[in-house]
Amino acid sequence: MEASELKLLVIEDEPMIRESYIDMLEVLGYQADTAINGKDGLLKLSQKEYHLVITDLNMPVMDGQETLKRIKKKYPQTEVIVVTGFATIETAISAMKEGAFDYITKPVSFEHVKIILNRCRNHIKARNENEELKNLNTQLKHVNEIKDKFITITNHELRTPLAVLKGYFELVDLSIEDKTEELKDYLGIISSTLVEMIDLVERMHHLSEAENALSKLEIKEFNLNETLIAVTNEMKILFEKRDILFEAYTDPKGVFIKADPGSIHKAIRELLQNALKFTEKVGKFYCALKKKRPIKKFIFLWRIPASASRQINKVIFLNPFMKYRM
Amino acid sequence: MDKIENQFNVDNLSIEDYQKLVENLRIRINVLNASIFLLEDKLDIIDLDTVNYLGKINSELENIRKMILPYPIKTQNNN
Repeated sequence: MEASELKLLVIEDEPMIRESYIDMLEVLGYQADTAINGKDGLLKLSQKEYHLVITDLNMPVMDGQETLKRIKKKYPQTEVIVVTGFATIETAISAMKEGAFDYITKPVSFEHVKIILNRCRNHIKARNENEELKNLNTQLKHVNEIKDKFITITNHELRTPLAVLKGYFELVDLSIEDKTEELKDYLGIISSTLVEMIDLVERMHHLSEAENALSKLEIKEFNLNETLIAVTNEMKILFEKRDILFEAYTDPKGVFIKADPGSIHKAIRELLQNALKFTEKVGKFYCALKKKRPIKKFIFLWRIPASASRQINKVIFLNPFMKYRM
Repeated sequence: MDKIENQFNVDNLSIEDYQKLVENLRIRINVLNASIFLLEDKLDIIDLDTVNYLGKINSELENIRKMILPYPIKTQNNN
């Protein structure tokens, strides 16, 4: 904040002193309005916003102490500097307790005024910046709330209607027998758009899960065999329903790793869900757990028999949330 | 085997991601709405099931639209 930007009001009953203050302030680069007593000062404050008021303490009609009280009550953002004689230094200290920024003693020293005004200007600037940061922070909080709410919606509420939409679209596609080129175009656009939307929601779901998971990771040593058994028990009925022969093999020696059991459980379950999705009906699927040297690598193997030409796929667990494209 | 670096970087879950997601979803809903409308228009529907399926599709689209509409694309701090 430059000196010329500071909105300043000087309250002083003595016309000569008032004039001298104005001249001095002008030399320092400040432009100030004036008021002849506290009451007049409050009237000026009600008409215009001031950053700073310099007020004499001993004045008729309304003294500086009362003026200060009223200013701080009604305009707490406005800083007040009181001017006092040595005889009333106690009053100046009491003014500080009432919220004055500082006090200037008479006779007024040019250098002293310069220093106090510079300090006051820096204080106002810092306070304004702080206020701006607070506002920005509130805004960001609000934006984050909107974002979080939206992510929750995409996670939980959008997935179902999208799946329903895709299901009905596939039925419409099947029910249209003679497809013209134009119809094929529309169906193609609808199909690819739906896939994109499902993918968008799915990606946001993973990001959100990653965020939640990171805050709740519980790293401990455990046997990966137990996780595979647990996931297999959860999933085998789904394989049976699709008439897929499903076998899972653990490592007899045990595969002990230090990781978050919940995340690893989820990762294996997702791998098996993919296997379930991409294995042809009435097919075969097996997965096995093998401990490899160096110990930090664990390989998860599965085989997709039919059309995938008996290719063995591998996923290596290195660290959380790293993804490998097969 | 190609590695995808930092696929799950939590820092990526930013306001920009949110804005892109809302915008992308809205664009795709508009595309779906238009495509379904054109499909219905060009289709000589005699099958009651197909009419029923298209009705369900339109109703689900409307549900999704209602869910997304209240969320602003541009947020205050990005203005």
